[in-house]
Amino acid sequence: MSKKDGLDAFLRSKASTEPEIDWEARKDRWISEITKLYDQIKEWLSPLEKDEVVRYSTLTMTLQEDPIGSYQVDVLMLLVGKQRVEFRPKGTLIVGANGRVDIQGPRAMRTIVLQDGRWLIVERSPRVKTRPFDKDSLETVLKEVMA
Amino acid sequence: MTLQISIRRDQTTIEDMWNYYGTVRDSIVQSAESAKQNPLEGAGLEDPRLFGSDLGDMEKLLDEADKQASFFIVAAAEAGILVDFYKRVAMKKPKDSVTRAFRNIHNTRSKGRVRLEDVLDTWAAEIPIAKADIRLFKGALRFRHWLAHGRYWVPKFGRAFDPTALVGIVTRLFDKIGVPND
Repeated sequence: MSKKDGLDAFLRSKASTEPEIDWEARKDRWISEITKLYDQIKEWLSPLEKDEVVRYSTLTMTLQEDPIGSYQVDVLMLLVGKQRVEFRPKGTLIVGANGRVDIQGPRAMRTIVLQDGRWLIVERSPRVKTRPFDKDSLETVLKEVMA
Repeated sequence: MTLQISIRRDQTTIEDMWNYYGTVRDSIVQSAESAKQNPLEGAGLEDPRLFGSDLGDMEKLLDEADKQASFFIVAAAEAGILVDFYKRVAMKKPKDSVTRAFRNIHNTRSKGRVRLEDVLDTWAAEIPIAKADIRLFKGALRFRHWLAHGRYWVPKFGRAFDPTALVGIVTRLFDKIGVPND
């Protein structure tokens, strides 16, 4: 086989095997996962919302991720007394995961990631570990991030 | 002539640093690419240390890798210039004017290390076509100084330095003054 044949075959194999990614669909699904996360958090806290212990607010922020481009997502703000905890999406192009939301409180920040359709809390103490993000772990996270 | 210092045989070269930088940079870029390529279901844990990093985090890692590699490329270049200096000083019967000038520098600094600035100024005086490259290299030394001292002040270099630019600066300088590049 000549060098030209080798190059030809190599580039043709790359052209045929590189998967096409529908970035628009990935972005839409990511935004949908964020919405579902916020709905779940609100459901867990609904008794407290009825008693006016917690309130919610949202603001829109712009994410920029090549090759998706820039797009807008909601930041969920949990208001408890004078304190505010923000659920701030970081992006869907995340190493080892399909999305990341940072939970920023007045005292600390924690990270949850989307993996295989499930939200997981990331712990680094010192090795990286994850555990499911559920109602119990939300309580733990809020205790850690709030003053 | 007896030298004031012992020269190590296994010098770290610019090529060593360039290869190291390539390894680090490729690793970061591949992790960033894996974040782009993962389908929405079934993402794998590529590197536990990078797990959860977004593209902004990866950019910061690349920037840090650039700075660290820049530091060591300039350090390797300094070593190359000074090893050449000491080898010339140790010659038994130097005939060229650069080597004679180096011996004078060496002899006048019998109790201390030779200043790189003096060596560079000698090269600039003896090889006029290298003056511009020496000026650029002195800028690179100021950049390294900033890195070495913790980057706590806002620098004014007049140009951007990164590993690619620095390897270019050093390679051109070494070619002009005849210092080995490996």
